[in-house]
Amino acid sequence: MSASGVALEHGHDHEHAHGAHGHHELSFVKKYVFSTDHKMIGMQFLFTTLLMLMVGGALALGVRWQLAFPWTAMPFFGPMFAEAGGQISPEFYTMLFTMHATVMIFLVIIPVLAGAFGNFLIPLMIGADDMAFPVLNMLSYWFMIPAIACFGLSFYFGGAAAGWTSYPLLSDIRAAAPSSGSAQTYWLLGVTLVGVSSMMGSVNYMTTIINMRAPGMTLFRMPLTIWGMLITAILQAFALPVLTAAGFMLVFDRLDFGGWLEGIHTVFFIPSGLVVNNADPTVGGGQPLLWQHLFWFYSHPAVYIMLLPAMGMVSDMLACMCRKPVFGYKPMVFSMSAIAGLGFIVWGHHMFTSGMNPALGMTFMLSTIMIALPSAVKVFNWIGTIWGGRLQFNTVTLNCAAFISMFIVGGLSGLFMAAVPVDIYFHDTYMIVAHFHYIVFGTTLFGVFGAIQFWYPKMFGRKMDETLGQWHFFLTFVGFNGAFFPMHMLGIAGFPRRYADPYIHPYLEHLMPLNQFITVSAIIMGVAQFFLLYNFGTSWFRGEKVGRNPWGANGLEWFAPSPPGHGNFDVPPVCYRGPYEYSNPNHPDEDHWMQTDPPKGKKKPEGDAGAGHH
Amino acid sequence: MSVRWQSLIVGLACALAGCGGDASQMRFVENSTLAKPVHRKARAVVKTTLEEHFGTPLSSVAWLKLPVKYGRAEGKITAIEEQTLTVEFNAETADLTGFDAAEFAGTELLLISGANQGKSISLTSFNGTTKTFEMSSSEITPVVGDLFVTGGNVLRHGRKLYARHCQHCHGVSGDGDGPTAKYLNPRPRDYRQGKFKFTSTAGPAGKATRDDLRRIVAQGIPGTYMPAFVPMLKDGELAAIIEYVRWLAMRGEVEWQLLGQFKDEYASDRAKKEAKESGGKESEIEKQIDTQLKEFVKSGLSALVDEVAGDLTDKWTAAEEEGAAIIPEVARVADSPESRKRGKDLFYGKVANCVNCHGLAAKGNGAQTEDVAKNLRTGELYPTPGLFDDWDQPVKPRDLTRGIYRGGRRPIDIYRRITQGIKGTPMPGAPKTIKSDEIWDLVNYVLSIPFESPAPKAAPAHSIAGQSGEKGHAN
Amino acid sequence: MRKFWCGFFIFWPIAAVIYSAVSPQFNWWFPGPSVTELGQRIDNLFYLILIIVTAVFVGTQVALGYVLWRASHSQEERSWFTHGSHSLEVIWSVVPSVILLFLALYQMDVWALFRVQSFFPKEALNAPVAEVTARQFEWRIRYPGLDEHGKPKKLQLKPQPDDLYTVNDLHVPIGRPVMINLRSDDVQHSFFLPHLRVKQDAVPGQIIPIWFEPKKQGNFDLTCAELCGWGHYKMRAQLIAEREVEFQAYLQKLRADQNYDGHATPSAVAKKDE
Repeated sequence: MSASGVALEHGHDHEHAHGAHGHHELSFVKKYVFSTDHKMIGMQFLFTTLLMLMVGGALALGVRWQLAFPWTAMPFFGPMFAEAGGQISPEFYTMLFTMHATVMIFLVIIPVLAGAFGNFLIPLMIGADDMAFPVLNMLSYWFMIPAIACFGLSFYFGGAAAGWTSYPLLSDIRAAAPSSGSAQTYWLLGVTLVGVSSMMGSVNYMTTIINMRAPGMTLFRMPLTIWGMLITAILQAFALPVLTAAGFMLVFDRLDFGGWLEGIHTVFFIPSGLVVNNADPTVGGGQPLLWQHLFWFYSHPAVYIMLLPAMGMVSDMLACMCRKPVFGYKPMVFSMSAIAGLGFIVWGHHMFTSGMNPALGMTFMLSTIMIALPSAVKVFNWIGTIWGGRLQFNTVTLNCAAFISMFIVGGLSGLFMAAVPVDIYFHDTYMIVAHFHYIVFGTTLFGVFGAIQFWYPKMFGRKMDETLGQWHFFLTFVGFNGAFFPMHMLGIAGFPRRYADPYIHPYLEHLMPLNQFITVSAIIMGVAQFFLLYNFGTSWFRGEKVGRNPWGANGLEWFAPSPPGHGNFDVPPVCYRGPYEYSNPNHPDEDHWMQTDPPKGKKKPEGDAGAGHH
Repeated sequence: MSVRWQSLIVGLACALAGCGGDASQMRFVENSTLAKPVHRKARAVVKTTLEEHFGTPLSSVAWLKLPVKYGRAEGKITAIEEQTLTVEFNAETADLTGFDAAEFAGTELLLISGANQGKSISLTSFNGTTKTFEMSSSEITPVVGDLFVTGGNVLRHGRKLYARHCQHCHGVSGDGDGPTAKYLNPRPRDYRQGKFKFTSTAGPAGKATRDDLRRIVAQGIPGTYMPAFVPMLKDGELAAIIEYVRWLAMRGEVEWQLLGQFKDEYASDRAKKEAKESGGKESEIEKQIDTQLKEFVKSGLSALVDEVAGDLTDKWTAAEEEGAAIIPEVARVADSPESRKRGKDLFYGKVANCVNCHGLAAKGNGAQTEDVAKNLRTGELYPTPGLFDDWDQPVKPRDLTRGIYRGGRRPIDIYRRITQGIKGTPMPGAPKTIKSDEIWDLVNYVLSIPFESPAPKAAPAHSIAGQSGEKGHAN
Repeated sequence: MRKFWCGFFIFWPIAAVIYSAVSPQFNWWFPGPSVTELGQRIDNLFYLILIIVTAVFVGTQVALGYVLWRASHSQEERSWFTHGSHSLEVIWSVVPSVILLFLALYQMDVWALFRVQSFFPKEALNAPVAEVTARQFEWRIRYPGLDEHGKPKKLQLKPQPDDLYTVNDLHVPIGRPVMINLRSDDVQHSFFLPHLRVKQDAVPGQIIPIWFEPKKQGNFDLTCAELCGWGHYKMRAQLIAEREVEFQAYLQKLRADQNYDGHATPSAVAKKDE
């Protein structure tokens, strides 16, 4: 980075930081509701996603109940779900798993990483006073609300029931999944709005990270969290337009206003001459597989959108907890980039049995298997990071260790699916369900649980309760593995996904006890989340008060007050070194060496002296 | 070890299910279209009567008057060996044919003679070929020669299967209005008039035989959402479901008849009307109705119920009798161009007049489908043009070019559709003047329609997908 | 506490491995060995990957447990100060990539046999036994009609007057590769034969050929593996693999049943239906 650029930015920060003190008190609405402050927006995202986590969990329990005790009334939720005889009817079951996945993916995992932690951490970690476009940032949160409303309307109209992948023609011809009716259209609009929100975030993160770093914060001094966020933002910017376009195509296929307006009735995905539910034959010439290509062109990179920021955050937390530099910082960055790059050319592995050209199957297998390589490198580096460190087992460490441990399982089980011949058998069985829950829940959510505990002091100036945190971890981990590890065995037994009553098939009859075990584990896991909510809520008032840097960490965010005021830094930060200088022998006084600590002989950063030199 | 471990899990799960299983939500729904014009007190009488004779979904009553095989068995113990009882069934009171031995697992054997008269023994299994029961150990020791009653599990078994496989479409009461039903076209069958569309028996009152029902449940109805349940259900399960459906249909029919009886005398607006005419007080007339109804319940109700039950017993029994199924007088006329030509003439002719509904191109869009039809039950015109069935649902004549035949594609099936019509729909039986061989001509013609040239667009052009993969979308 | 947590992270992988090892005894495993040769090759590939994956799983989890134990019991005053090791990075990039590349290339021929038409056995490719049409929510099966010698004719793409129909009941002969044409009437479905390790989506507007060669007689499950609506789970059917003679006899019986007019002697099954 050129020195002049650094100086310029610094000057800007400096001015703003001081200017911030002169602000008059903002009104309640400006401060807490339509806030343009990245920290408040981040927390809004965090609260929303935690709430949605509980909603999605409740939906999952509905699914689990039906699989364990088919056609019996469900406790607590039963009266809500019950129609005739208290049963979860098959079309309601279809809706349950569709909405579970939708809520978890679009309203929990993606926004909790990019929305909550991305917003909160990016400016603090790179030493900026706010995002590059604060109003756009605010809008990115407020576009989530109509998205949630659309999903709510979707519920109201019976719930989209074509799976979260919404494959046409089930999602396209109204008569094919009539229980979804206009619900499917609202669902598509909801996904599109989430996309708009993500795109606003993505543009903002890229601009902020590239242009607004503090003096001295070169690209290779950025914490891995920021690398994760940057790569995620780039992924979103390139992949999302495809999904948005596909979504609109599907909406145009579906739209039916009734009356003289009729509808648009394009036939992008509809072949001709199909008679569904005795409706008129379709007129067409469309191709249903087109949707699968477009959808996975977004949704496979989206899997990494759901993962990379968590990988970054865990790297940061691990280094701090082990008091040791991240092992192989640059290989970590390169492997993240490799995952992102390869992530664009592996989408076809979702379609091995779909009827696409078999030759494509071979190329996609090759690229998919090779994407395991950077993931493996990352695992080895995390283990290397812990190796020879000095470790305290607290909630953060536990969640990070679980992250690595679960990522190994999820990554390895992916190999079975990447191998085409074996995937012929495993496609759309519980093997897939086990695999992606190990990645999305086991990996990402454990990372997020750790991150909540780790950055909570920065958000509220207090620490979360350690005992409750460990209980939460213990119960979640036990419940999680009890629920999802046996699903590998279900998959090997050929247990298909999305079956409302699998036990009518003779080769699955004997799997009911195993499913009941899974459901009991899932209930334990669900109950455990109340520990987190309770801990999160009460620590706000009762948590131990802490100063700026309770963990003795190196990042710029720990240089700001806890919680940081408007404009973040009371003293403009200057970055002198990489983020992982723990236990550096050249710095014998402490076992950490903050990025803002000037080298020996330099004064604390009061003025501009020394900025840009290191 | 494995078994013990699994049962532990099941035990825990059952405990959970126990606290959640809210069975009270399961109830029979009143036939609302029919009940609306009936006075609420009369409706209450119908409800109590039904509950007395049929019970509730979860504790159903086996009304022995009805021709339903409840799986009941009476007989005599002929040998006892440790836990094994060998028995001899009393032929008249045993209706076990077609059911699984599993029907008897968990039932009780009630002793009706000897020292232990009135006491029961729980059974663990039944072997149909050796006619032996395995009983669980109990304090009661039966003696050879004791008479017993057992079984009756068929309804319970049928209900369980019905709840799992049928209920979400056909509804708890068989009203064709389960939660899934509103999304289906055509709607699932409402059994409560005792009408089934595709039967082998004659006449508009001809009930479905067990074999008719079995054929539909086993093979499904092509072109609708009624799926084929074989191989999903085994023979005994099919039999149990069919008995339960027959029982539901009879229950619905009893309700239907009783409400029909009350409709005129105890109309819901009777008090209002009479008050208007005579100038009396509404409340007094209400009281009068109450007394009158109480009187009737005491004096005439049981006779009425018996009459209704007797009537439908006769009909359902008649359907099962030898010779009830339509067998053509002559064997199928050979399928030749001449035969088809004769059939075609009939199709377009004035006597059979198939073209009137099925249309010039046999696409199910004949002139009749454009007219406004009259509701035969209420005498009013339907709000929209087109044909309606007895359940007031719009129906379309079959598009014969598609080669999909809901009642079955065998010549005999088509023959029966043509001679007897489709029950509950505007499809009439052929006039008696058309002879058996002419019907066969018509059958031959109908079966040839999808292949007539110029070939109708029956199936979309498909391309073989292969190495070239996705090139092939339709047309 | 640190002993507990170290034990915790060591205990769970051990539990997972033990659980996986005993699973086959509880039948939480493949529904029996594959009844096709190609399926057995798929199983072999599965076991190959399973061995590699187990080794890596055990290795990495043990390493994780070890470094956790070491780091939490560290007697040293400070952590090691290292930013990584270039040679280690090279080793753990190159070794896995060689293994992965081998894995990828090793799978190719099984896939080609399964799906690429030029690799299909010629006899199967030229004479498909049946057309299987998936629709909500059942499998409708169309066999070609029989010629004057009682032998099946060639299956035409369009329905013929003498075609034979069944539902949810697919009969195929054993001892020779058979091919079926897969179609869909409405939405996407997936033709899944778990015992044969065969799965192929049915795509509306396409006819997709699938071949398999059952090695033994039996009644196998046929299910749908692609979400096709509320009744997805109801699409249970059976594949009956039988000897060539039995298969021919079955087709003849089917023809007799389908032509039943109330007079001709129906076969045993038709009698039962009446």
